[in-house]
Amino acid sequence: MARFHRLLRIDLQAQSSTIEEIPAHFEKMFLGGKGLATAYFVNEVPPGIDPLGPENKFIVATGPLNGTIAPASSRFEIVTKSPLTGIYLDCNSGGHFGQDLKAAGFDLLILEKSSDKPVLLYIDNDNVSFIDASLIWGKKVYETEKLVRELIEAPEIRVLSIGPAGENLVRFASLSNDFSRNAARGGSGAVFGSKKVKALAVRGSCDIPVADLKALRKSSEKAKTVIFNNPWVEGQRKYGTVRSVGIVNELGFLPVNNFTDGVVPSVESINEISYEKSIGKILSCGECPVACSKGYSRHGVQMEGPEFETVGLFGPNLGVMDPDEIARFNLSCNQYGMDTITAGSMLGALLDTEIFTEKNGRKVDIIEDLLKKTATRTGVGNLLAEGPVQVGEHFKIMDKMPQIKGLGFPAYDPRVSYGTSLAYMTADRGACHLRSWPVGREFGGMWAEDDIEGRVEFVKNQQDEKAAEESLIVCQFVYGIGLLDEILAELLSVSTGENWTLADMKTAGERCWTLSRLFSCREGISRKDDYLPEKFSNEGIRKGPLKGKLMSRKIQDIMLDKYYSLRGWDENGVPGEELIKRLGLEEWVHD
Amino acid sequence: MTKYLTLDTERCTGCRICESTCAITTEGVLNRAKSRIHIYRKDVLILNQLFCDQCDEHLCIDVCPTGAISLKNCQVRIDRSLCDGCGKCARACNKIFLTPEEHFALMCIQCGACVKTCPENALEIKEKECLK
Repeated sequence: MARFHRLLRIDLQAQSSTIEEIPAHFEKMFLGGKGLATAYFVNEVPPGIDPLGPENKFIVATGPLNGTIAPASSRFEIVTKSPLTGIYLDCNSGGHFGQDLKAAGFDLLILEKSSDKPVLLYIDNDNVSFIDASLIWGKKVYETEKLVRELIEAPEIRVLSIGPAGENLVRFASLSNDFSRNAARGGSGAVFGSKKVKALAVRGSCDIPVADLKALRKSSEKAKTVIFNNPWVEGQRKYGTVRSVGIVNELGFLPVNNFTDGVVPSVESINEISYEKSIGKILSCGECPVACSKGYSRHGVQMEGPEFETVGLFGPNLGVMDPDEIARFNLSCNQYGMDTITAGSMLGALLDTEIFTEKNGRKVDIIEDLLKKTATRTGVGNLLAEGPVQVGEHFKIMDKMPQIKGLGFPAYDPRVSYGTSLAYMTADRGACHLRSWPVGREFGGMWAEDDIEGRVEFVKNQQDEKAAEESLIVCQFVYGIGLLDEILAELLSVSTGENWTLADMKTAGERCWTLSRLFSCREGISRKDDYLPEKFSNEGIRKGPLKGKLMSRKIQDIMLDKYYSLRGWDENGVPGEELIKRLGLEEWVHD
Repeated sequence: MTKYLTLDTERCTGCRICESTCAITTEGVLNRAKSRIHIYRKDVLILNQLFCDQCDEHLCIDVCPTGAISLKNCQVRIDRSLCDGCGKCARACNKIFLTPEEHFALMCIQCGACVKTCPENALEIKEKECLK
């Protein structure tokens, strides 16, 4: 129950599809969503394949809570091999797509091989159509979504699509749904582009099977109380993520001028109060009572956002303090279909050199021009489209390129704390702030200044719990990161009729985390890839309350040693046999 | 008096909790496609909220070939035992829906369940002079 136990496998080359049953023991081991998608992915994708070749697989997953009335349960997961990092990638997006894919009767969708010509996939419950997308190819995201609805003549469908960046195989191209909700990181849009899939539309009208609907209604009400008792939610509901700009600046870890300064004198022009004036519509994901998405509408720019990460990275990180210019960059990325985080952090390093200076024109025009050139792979854009590592190596600025494993930094300077550094260093898909978020607790004094062990343990546990949360799938902004309340086990148990505890859920998350690492190790990842770039271990933050703070290589080594040991990985960061055996993952280990 | 559902479009965030509430309350299943209220995404920041608002036009009554749709005690109602799911009403008015299997038509019955669960207090049941 709350599961369809069904997987839809689509062969893009043969334009055919099959439906398979998902074994019950897989569900028990991996819960659903991210976990289940990772289990299939690691099992089916051989080592060394080209992420942009037909051998790569593209998995879209829903979780057992998707489609139910559990609050904030409409997000969906994507798992594939990243063309940006060459390793495991998973993305999680809001909007309504996940809820509707679930209603089509599927827990998992696997896209295989590649189409010869542009295709629009349309899943209408069990019926899969391969529609010629030649006329939509080349269109930007907003127009694509509208054209798909017109073409299929169904106003209720949900559309996942790419823009020109995905078509041009920009390695950090995103996938969009509901116009400006993105699965942005790591280049999932380029994988779509390589498979010549312009868009995936879905219409679902199946009854969602729930074991005990009455109990679920009761548990969902209880969940709402838990959600609104979370002190963080009120501000999230009122302002969205952009309200973090002021707090992060005050504490001194805002990315400023390519992660150099840590603070700006004032955030007045780019904080939540400034952006409040531009809110044209407040929007919500499916079944969410919080509605954190603020629709920006000003000077012809319309979108959901900008979110904190985009403001930080396209704002202070590039030395831009004009809220409307930041929104304009955000819109360009949305329309081309590109990740604002990788774009913003990479451009920060580039603008920190003598290569692009004000003598080339107004900075904001240079940025806009570079975004366009990147999306269309024109001139220098062809290099930028390859991502931070290639750009860093080309211009010999790898030491200060803010990336780990090829994925650009989010908008928090990791030197702020041991925990934040470790979270970036060990996140499954490369530098990511959404796998563990210890910094709030660090500032709150949860650990003594020198208690590295406590922080390492927290990061490890939260990563496992977050993987479980993304297997359910529910929203971390609403429930907090990880498995913070028993209500999550209750929602899962009454929905599925299975008996779940938070401990079992966490173990499922640990399995997922272990498998993704095994996959990435197979691709050559090891300890050497788990460090911050040189700048962050050699140079202190230049200004503000954290002035002088850095994260020495020695500290990074101490943290990695403790982290690997706690995880049951060897000193090189490879999951050990004992761990694999304890988690029952032997069948996923290929010699 | 005629009861009708109204929605404040400024308040509505498109969470579609009304849809799931409606399907569970009126059809006893968790299936948003069986809801009598639907929220579609029309444009980047524009939602399209559709439900029967007991209008004065009565196109649905006019086009129904089986007499399933009629005015009863000041309310437009569908008699499911007479509805054959032909879809003429849904084609005449986008505020009436067909069940996914096209067995019969669905129309808001002003039960008020969605009013209670809407987190934005965007929905309300109001009354107006009796429809004739």
